[in-house]
Amino acid sequence: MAAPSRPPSKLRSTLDGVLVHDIKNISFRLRLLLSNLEDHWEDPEFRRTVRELLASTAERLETIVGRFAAHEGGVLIKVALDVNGLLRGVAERPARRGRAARSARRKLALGAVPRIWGDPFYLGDAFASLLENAFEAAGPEGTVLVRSHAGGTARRPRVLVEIVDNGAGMTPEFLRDRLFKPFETTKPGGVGLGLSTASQIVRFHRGTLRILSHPGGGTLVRLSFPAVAAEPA
Amino acid sequence: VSGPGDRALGRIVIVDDDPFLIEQLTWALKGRFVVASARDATQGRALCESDSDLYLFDLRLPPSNEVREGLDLLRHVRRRDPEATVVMMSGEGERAHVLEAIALGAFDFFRSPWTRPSWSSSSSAPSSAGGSWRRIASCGGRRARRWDPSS
Repeated sequence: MAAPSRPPSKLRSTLDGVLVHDIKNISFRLRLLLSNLEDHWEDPEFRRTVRELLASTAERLETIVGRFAAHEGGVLIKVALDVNGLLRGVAERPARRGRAARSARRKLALGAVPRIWGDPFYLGDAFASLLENAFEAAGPEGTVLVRSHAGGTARRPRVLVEIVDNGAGMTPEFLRDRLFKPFETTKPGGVGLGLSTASQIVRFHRGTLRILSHPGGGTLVRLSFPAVAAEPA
Repeated sequence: VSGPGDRALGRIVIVDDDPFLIEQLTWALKGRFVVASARDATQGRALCESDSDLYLFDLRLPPSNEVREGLDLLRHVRRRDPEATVVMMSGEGERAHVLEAIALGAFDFFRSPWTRPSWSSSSSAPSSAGGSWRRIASCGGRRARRWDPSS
């Protein structure tokens, strides 16, 4: 049932770009720290800043390694995948370290859908990214709805997945110019990689990703994938 | 906050979104500069309303995390004081941005990471930033003389 697919080279190059960006920043921090050690080591206040900087840097490195380990090999292994099972699993996961707690109300409305050819690991990552965005946008008082239903035609069946939040929404300019660009983010401390990578993963599954949003009106992310037909994409 | 003992020190404004970097830069400049720092362009702009001897800005800054934030800050400071010495920092070093920053009047452009910054050093260790810094320090003018470490 499993079938290797083409390596997602563009995904890797995006990740490599982020890696270079993050590592340069870390290197900058450490060089500066090194240059200060000699002059200020005797000062206990300086030693406190050293501990904090090292702890923060180690955490940042672990995040980078985690991000890359998740995409190791760069090969998609597509199986006939139960999208609902994957969505359920991802929606029930706790928030990743360093991300906002998932305090918004969550609702799952998963309909009967055919299977799709998909890599559960990559696709789970893409769903998780989109859900994280939705939870962060919704905030503690908001609601995040995840639904799935069958679509397309009898000859070309598709599976539709929607992730809806009632958060602040986005302006048309942001949607048009910045939403899918790597490194673009409005979140403090965010690297702006989530949506750009998620969108590439969806494309590697011959899927589409559409976003409907307006300020004050929340955001709807609609994914559409071809259902299992004769052979994997 | 400046005290009476700080009168001989220069004032530097640092705007960077990494608090750890700001902290280490502050240690590196201790005894030479009074550091005023901000983590985003909006707060940074407020700090630039007071005269400073030197400005050190990251290129990408919140709130938008776009390159234009750093460039706008540079433009703002140079408009307010055409002689202001502004040094830009970036881990990216995209040629177009470097050229734009220089055209807007940036004194120099550091491609981080740098090695030991020469303003904090009594030695003459060569470094990428050191070269820039020596040029800044030797540029003359009242500002440069005030904070030239060899003076």
